[in-house]
This record gives sequence, structure tokens and C-alpha cells, in this order.
Amino acid sequence: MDLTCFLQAKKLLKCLWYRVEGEFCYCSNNFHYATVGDSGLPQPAMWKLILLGHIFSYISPLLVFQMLHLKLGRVGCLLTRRAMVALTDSGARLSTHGHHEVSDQLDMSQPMYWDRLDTPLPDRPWKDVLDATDKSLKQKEKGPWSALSKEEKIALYRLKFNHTYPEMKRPSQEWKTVIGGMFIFFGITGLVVIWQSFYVYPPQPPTFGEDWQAKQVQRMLDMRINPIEGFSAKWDYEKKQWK
Amino acid sequence: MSYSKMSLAKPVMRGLLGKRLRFHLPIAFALSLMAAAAFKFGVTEPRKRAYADFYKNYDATKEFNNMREAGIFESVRPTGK
Repeated sequence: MDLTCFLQAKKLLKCLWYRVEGEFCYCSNNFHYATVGDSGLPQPAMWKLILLGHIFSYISPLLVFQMLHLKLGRVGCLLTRRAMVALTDSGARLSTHGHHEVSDQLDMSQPMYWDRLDTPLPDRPWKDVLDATDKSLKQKEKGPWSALSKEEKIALYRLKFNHTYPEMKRPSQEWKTVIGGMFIFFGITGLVVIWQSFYVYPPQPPTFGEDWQAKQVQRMLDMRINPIEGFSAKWDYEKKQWK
Repeated sequence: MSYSKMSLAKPVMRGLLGKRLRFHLPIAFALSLMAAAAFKFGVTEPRKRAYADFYKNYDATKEFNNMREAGIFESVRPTGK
């Protein structure tokens, strides 16, 4: 949610509160004017927020591009694996002229191996082609398992699976990419908002002026708006001041 | 092929919903009742008291005259006009 949305939501909530209390809306319905001062420029607080977002938009590319080259190296989930293969092979494809065949594509009609937390047993074991020692180990596995040593059990596991669960769950640096990308877009949005405040917003209506607002408040007190629990209840009519 | 006997304890297969309800329903009822009580004594009772106090010594004529002098009505202008 960007900054203008947040400020609009705040103004909306304030208006809704008075509406619920029984006051007919004395606040303006043009919410985006909340960010714009009398001259049509954003108010000082808004400037600070926009500048903050702008600063983030400079910091974030450093985070993002640092992480992107690491990300491409890792093998992702099932859906991205074909894309990764296609991406890494695109260089080779472009360099061979006139070749329309794609080499080294993953054959999806064969049983696949995967490392997934939610689906623990893949269709095929990790190591398909076994050498002599592996084959003898698999023969020994057919006997009683108490006869296997600890190293043999671990070797059998590594034949069947690529990563262990802790290895699958190892933390990645992806969050930096995500947060960096977020801040980039916040910054871009902030720039768009600044441009809008100069080139799009019409002049503010007179009802936003200081004098008008003061007269409006006085009129609401005269009419005894919500005198029990709401607006006028907070005004001391004897001392003529806020309680 | 002979396998040495390995066995795990059989997991609980029945009564799972009943067990969950026996645990969660009393908590749910208790929390709901607490929420209702909190709302009653935090919101509705103070509100009733506020309204009662407001109308205990409320003089409608005096308020009307004050409002009239402030000039908000169109049917009765302030005295002296």
C-alpha cells in the first residue's frame, strides 16, 4: 500500500467516524486533497514521506542486483526448473545459427526427481545409474537393516535423495530481493505522486482554508452536534473552551 | 528375504474431532462470554450513564434559545433582528 493510499485511508476513517456519530459529513469528500496544501503543492509532512520513499528507491537496487545473480544459480521449484534450463541454454542456442532444435531439455514424460518439503518421496531415486559399490550396497540393503553400519545407511540415503530436509530448509537471501523490489516500486510511486501534485491536481476548494474550517467548527458547536458523547460534548459552553 | 521385526505404536485413529471439541469449545465459549461482558461494561453501560447524566438536568428551552442566538435557525432569527 503506497503513501497516498495510506493518507487517503486515514482521512476516510476520520470522516467515517464523524458520520457514525451522527454528524453529517462536514469533511470534504475529495480525499486526495488531504495531501495537497493551499498552493496546490504537497504539505510538508508529505514531502518528507515522498523523499523517504525516494531514498529507498536508490538503496534498493543495490540489494536487488546483488541478489539476482545468486538467485539464477540455484535450482528452484518444479515450475521454474524448465525455465532455468531454457534460460541457461538460450546463450548456446543463439550462438548456433540456423538451429531450431532445443538441446538438453528436461524430458517430462519420464519419472522425475524433486526436492520438496511437502512431497517427500519423488518418483525416482536421485542416483539412477549405480556403479559396482552402489549395487553391492543395494544388495546388502535387501537383508536385515540392523546389519548395516551408520555410514552405509547414510550412503543409501544419499543414493536415494539429493538434499536432506535441513538442507532443503536452508535459509536463502531471497527476502532481500523482495524487499528491495518493494522499495523500488515505492520510490517510483513516490515520484509519480510528486509529478501528479504539480501537473494533475486542480486547485483546492475554499472549504479547506483556515478561516472556513474555523467558521465550520463554530457552526457545528452552535448546532450542538453530538452533545452527549461526540463533538460538542468535548466543548465547555460555560468557559467557551475545549474540555 | 527375512526382515527383523520393527514396529511403531499405532497412531490414534478415532475420536479426533471429539477430542478437539472437548478442548476448544469451552475455551471458545469462555472467550466469547468475556468479550460480550467486556463490551457491555466497557461500552454500553458508560454510554447509558452518559445519556442519563446528560438528560438529568437538560433544559430544552434554554438550549433552544442559545442556538437561536447563535443564528443557526432560519425560521427564528436571533432576538433583536
